[in-house]
Amino acid sequence: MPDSPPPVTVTGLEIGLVSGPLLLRRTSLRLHGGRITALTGPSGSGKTTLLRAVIGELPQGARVTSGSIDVLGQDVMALAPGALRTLRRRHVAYVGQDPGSALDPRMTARRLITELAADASPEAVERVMAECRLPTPLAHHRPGALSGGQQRRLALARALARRPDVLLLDEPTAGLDADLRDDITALLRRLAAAHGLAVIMASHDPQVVEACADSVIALDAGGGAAPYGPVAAALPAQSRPPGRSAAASAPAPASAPVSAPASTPAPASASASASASVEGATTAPGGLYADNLHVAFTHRGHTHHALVGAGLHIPIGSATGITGPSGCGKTTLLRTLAGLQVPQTGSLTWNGRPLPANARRRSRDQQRRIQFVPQNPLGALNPSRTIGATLTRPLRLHRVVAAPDLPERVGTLLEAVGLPRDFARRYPHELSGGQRQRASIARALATEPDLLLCDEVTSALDPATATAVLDLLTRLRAERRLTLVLVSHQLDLVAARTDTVHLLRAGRVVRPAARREGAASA
Amino acid sequence: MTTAEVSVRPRPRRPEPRVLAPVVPAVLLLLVALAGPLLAAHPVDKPVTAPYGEAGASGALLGGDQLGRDVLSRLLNGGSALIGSALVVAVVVTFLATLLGCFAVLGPRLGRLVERAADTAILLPPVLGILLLALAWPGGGRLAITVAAVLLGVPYAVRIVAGAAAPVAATGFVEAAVASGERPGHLALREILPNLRATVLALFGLRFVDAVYVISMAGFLQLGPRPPEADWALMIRENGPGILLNPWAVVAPGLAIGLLAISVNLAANALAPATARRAALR
Amino acid sequence: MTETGTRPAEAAARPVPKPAARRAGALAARVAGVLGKRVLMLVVLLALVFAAIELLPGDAATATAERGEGAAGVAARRRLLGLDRPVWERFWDWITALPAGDLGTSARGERVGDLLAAPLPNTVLLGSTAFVLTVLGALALGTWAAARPKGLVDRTVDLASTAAFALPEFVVAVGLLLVLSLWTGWLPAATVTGADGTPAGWTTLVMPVLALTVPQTGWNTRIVRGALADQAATPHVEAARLDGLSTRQVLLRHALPGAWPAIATGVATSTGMLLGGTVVVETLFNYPGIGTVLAGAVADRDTPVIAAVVACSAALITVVLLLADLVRARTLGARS
Repeated sequence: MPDSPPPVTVTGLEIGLVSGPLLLRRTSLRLHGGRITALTGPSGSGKTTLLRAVIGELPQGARVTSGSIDVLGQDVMALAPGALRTLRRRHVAYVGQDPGSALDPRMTARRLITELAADASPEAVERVMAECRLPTPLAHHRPGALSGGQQRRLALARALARRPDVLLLDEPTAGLDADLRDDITALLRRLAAAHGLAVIMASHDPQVVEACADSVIALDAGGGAAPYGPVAAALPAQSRPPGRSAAASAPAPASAPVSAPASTPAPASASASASASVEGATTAPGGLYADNLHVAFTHRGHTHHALVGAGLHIPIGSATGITGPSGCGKTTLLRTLAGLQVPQTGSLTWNGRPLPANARRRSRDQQRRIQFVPQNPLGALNPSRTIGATLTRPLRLHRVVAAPDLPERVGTLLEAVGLPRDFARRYPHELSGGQRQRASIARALATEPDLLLCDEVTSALDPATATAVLDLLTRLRAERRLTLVLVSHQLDLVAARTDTVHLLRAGRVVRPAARREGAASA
Repeated sequence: MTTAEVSVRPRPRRPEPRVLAPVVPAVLLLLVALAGPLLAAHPVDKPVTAPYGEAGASGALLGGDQLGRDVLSRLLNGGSALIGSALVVAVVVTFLATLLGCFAVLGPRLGRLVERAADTAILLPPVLGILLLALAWPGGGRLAITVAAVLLGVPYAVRIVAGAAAPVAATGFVEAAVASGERPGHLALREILPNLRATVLALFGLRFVDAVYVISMAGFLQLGPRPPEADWALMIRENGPGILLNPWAVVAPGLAIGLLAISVNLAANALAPATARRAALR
Repeated sequence: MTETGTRPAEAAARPVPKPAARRAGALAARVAGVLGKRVLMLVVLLALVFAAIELLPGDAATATAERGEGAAGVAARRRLLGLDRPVWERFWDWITALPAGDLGTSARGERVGDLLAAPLPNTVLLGSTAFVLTVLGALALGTWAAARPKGLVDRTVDLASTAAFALPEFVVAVGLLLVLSLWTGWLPAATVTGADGTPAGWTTLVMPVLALTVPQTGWNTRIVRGALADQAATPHVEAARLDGLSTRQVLLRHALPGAWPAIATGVATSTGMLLGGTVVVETLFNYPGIGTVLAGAVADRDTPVIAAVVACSAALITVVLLLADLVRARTLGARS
């Protein structure tokens, strides 16, 4: 096998959007039969883009700016549609990041495998299933009836059934617990050896890379260096998953240029900086108490319990983090605190007085003092109004300053969040992602609040920008004596800047990972 | 997907010339139809030739109708009322639907009511609805037809606006405004509405086409305009028996309605972005 | 529905399956809920129809009154037609009689049911032929266009369907008359009826059916195309494409099944449009159907006939909507 020509050779490949920003920095690699190559790098460095380019698929509006991809002696970018289909159908199999959604929900496991199998006989299909450790009775199940690990193995079986020469895997272990992860890595090793498969997998999990990769290729933050603007946001979702793959992503070995200001602690060193809490932030009695919150959503007869008796205490002047896996209910918890989601049961108390669950029922003063900073990519700012108009509105609504002083106050607010005063005339689409997040924080500050509830303010921002936004919040907290609640799935980022981190699992606050004081969580 | 689009879509700039091309025929046709009465050579109610007189005879370029009146003159006169009432219907329906739709996404109760109203309205085909109202309101004429078209159009249109407004209502800026204590009026009209331009435009186009359809159907069923008024749809009905003698008396108004409907629909299709169009279809 | 085998090995992580009996009970409850909702909407519509007739000026007694008939004559006729009783009482009588097939009495004193019995089969023939052709045509054109997004076929179909659905049926009919009858002389211009009042031969059906089919096919083609475009954007359809399956396999096996709910809803919507179009097309071609009866009733201002036809068509549309609900439930149910 070592003498056979490499099935995949990528030479000096660079992929960029027609409108400019780079998705993948110049990269070269060579895959070999029977060996596993790992692809690492921070989120936005183009791992997915590279994998998909190998099967001749580019994101919408993107093109190869230089270099070439040679797969089994063919230039995939120049292949005719028919030949490309044959290549994908018989020789190169790609398994995407989220196999659960990539499996047709209406087909049984057997049909899903048979559809692509080189040998469609029942015995052959059973052999493939056995190889991927899928029990035979599962053949009659549809993907919805399988667990996450089984879905992943089914996707793998579907890929292997066509007996490919090359296997491309995008984050094959993301979101799996340790046992399943080891299971999958062992399976990959075995398959690569048994079939002489050339495997390349994108992964941000150093343990997986260490456990099964023969060689490692680290990508630079190619796309990440480009400003996050309207253009980058227009990318199809799969090429830039909003933060999911970035979960707990430790910056790649040395190559990742974390160009954060020197004064800020790097996100990775979270554990070292025991507390980034601000001097003098005394935890006075009072604050926000939430007790026994239940929230359930019913859709088409299925009830999903987002919060199951969640409770927590947010002391005045504290910085509290709320974290947990996706779907654990952390955003629901924050929206409940903000009065946007009315819980079925439970109560809220604010400085010793009951706080109505519905934001509209809260007093003017409560509405002013508690401000909500929404998640960034989902339209944090009204695209049809200028930043100035967006900032003026809360000033007017809560009569913070007299009408003649409005423009001056808007300028002051923009400066407070580190934006130039003339941004008041701009529309949101003329700002970068980080700038929009700053403007959104400025809107929340306009009412001179006591409590800021921030929902995933750093998702969809590149690491350097995310750090800068969090530093801004930390600084504002000190300057304005704010109480801060940060919801994020990025534990390391949050932990470095908060006093207490509450971990949410399946709608329950399971552990106040207290640093200095244990908060009640009953 | 839609939410992301809402947040990043640049404000619409000047449309490209290519987009404007399909709009030209619609505008020309509307102008001709509205200015038609000024161009007509003969009065609409005086015979100038034999009944179903051949085209070209006694100065009647398209021949005569069942009473020998000039088809061309009646054609030029017969569009303005149809287009006028269709415009009124389209404007009123779009206005009401936009207003109701923006508020419907803020309150679950109004939202449910809108859904139910649309579910109910779907059971009444527009033609039957118009028959019903025209009968229940004898002598209502054009006004009855216009009111019926509005009543029948609104429930459906509100659902479309509400469907487009729902993702906007779920965006961060609306949530932040709700948490900050903004009143529903401000939320609906200042935060949500300005982001629905494309949908409202697409809706207006479709409502106009629909109004032309409904009103001309009513005219054909002799429910709206009364003889001797000139009306394209009525002309087709009146002159139907003589189609073998002077086909133009039927074909010309048929062509006029067809061209009007198609050109306006294509124009609306070109002006509204694909996403808004698809949403407006449902 | 095939979840009867051994539970998966990792089932512990998943919610405990409900016992079959409980599941069947939940299903029955949901079916009842959907059914109840649709029937309620139907009753609400019938009430609105009744109210429109009652509350607006001009009831059947005045409408059918002879010219110069005195107030006493009208009052007598009103008593005869039962119009002097309270509104709600008459509504109750009307709506409870409907399911039994009693559609009321026309202004001329005939039973509406008898009036509609003879032309009904003709209209059913016309409407169902047009309906089937519409569905088949829309599916064929929509999938053909979706096979090559933004290709020549796609753009042509988009343009043609946009143009077609804007056209009123009678305009299409005029065009068909002109081409198929006047210029080529292939088909008769009016419906020739046999001795028993049914259309004589299939040729008389061609133009009415086409006049109904063309606009509705335009509408439904756009629905099919749009639903397929939405499906094409789902991860599993994209994955199927990246797995190298042929365009046909991707479209028919992966995209179309998921598009059924949207298509069913669209088709259900066009049932009403088809029914409305039937009235016009039958009038134009002198086709002996319900539409012709209806047009006559309009001329006579015979409100009970119109109300009965509206009630029947609303009931029919309700049935079609329930079928669409069924398709939707099946498609979504097939996921687990």
